[in-house]
Amino acid sequence: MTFWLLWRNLRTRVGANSLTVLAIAIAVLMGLVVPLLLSSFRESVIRAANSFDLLITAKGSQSQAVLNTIFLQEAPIGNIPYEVFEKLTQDPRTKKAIPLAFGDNYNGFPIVGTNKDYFELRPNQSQGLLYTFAQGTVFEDEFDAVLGAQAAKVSGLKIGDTFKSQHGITPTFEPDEHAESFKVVGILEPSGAAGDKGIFVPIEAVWHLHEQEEKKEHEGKEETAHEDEHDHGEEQEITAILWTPTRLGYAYQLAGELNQDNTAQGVFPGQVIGQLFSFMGQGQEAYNLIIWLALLLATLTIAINTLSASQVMQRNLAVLRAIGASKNQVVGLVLLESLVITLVGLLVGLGLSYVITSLVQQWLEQQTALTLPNLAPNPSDLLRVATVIPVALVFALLPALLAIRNSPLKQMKR
Amino acid sequence: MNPHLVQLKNAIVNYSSEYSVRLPDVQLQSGQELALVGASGSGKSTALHALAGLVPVQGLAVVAGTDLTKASNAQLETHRRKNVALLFQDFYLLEGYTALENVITAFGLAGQPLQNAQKQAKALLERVEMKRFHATPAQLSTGERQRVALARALAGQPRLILADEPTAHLDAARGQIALKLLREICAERQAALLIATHDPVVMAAIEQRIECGTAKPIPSGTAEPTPSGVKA
Repeated sequence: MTFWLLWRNLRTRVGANSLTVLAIAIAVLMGLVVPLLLSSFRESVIRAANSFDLLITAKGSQSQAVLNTIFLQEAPIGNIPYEVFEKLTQDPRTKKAIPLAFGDNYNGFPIVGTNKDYFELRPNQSQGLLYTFAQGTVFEDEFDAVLGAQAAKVSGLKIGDTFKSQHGITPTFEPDEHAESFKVVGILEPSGAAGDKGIFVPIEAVWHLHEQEEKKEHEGKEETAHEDEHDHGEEQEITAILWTPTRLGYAYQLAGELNQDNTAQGVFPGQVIGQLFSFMGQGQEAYNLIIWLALLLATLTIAINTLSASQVMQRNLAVLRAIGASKNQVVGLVLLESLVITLVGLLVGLGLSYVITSLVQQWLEQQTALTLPNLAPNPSDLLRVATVIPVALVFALLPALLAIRNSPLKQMKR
Repeated sequence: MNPHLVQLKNAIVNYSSEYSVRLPDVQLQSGQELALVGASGSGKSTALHALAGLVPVQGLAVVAGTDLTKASNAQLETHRRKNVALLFQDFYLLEGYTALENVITAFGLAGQPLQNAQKQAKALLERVEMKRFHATPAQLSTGERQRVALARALAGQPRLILADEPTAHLDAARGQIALKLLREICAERQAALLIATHDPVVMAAIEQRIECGTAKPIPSGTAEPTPSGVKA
């Protein structure tokens, strides 16, 4: 009978109860989604940045360097001579050095000139490879290409297909296509890293295309500067080097050496990302306060709902007592009603959190190719949103106690 | 065993230290009818509320073996659930509940499983000629509300039915129908009926009457009836 009465009472005030459910759901949404996305995003970013120790780029903004080379966002700062890479390969401190060259795209997917070692990257030494092949193999010939999972999925390119890259890092209205075609020889499994939206080609191919480009430009200038002609093809450049030393201390040593001249700089991606998260952390502290305020507002909504319905509720409870309901039944009914509304709010909030998190994940994947690896809510965040349950019950106690404290006759006559 | 279903003697309800109401002496057996008459404020409604266990009472006040002067809260709750039904003058239907749900609730509180409660509530509403099962109190006429309140009062198989001005909000014809129904059902169930009333029609119909305020039994047919519709 109690449950029938509960259902009946909930239906009686379906509008006000729905609004309360919505308020709780929004508070839960705020309390779960943002912290979950941030922690998951952090995990994803750290995973991508941990695959090497030192990033070597042209002098300039360190955060731009990280965004460009690790997350394939933003334009490169500039180029560094290939000889920097060649020297590093001879350096006894080098465990692994991977060159990267940017500058072209295919329908918005960046063309990344590199070498085979790129596919040997590991998020950390104890884990498996960052990139594994879903189909095909690594490039062998100069115009072979390996597609990241998302690049393959969105572009629709398959093994054996050919495509022409476009000049520039972003697509333009009238793409300036290179003459040579690449052939797809490999497609990677989704990795959750930004490389999923990259198209990887031998670095020699990037140089080749740009030599052709410069030749064309040069011929257009009616051979006015013969002295420059011999330079083409000789000053090969790259955008960045992902460097892993045999000992971590060497990374600091090399960074110090590089920073002494104007050719290149050593960037510790962990530090840059740490600074970024430290900045975000300050915002997150403020956001934590907002979450508590939202939860407080939600519980106040429960209180307002309970109190605004109080007159009708008190009268009905008094009638129930007058026709034989016990005090325990009445108190139980009020508390159960509040509990059900709160739990439904929490469940709706959890459902909405799941939906919104999935949508953000899809959006983030499309925009950056970063996937959010761990989308299970943090227990401490769950505990925080669950605090609305006891608070709602405390608020519900007031009308419940009023209902049993006074004579039912008095309550009915009010 | 006490042969009387209801016994009130020298009973007083203290509303405060300055204000108390002396209740009439009443003895009533199962199946009997009694009208409480008297001026407003004479204690008719108070007597009904006291017998329903809704206000504390002193003196001798026993209903169906429950000593209302000594009963605990839990015993009074059981008393209200099992022994008595109070048909309020203002009906006091559950707001937002349909007519059917109001009666189902009473059956449920009396311990009936929900399915039985639904069947019996429908049957009882049909018995009181109330067909708009799914209308809420706000959508019902006064007469309809009165019939729903009557059906609800009868739901728990009470041994004593306390009716507070049952015809007060009804026109003469409807008042007579309501009274007839109430008396028929009480007779069928061998329930005692105690009516607080101003209505001359009711006074004329009920053989045994007690005038409140005087606490003396008044022989049938000698009372000067007051106009109906006056609140006690």
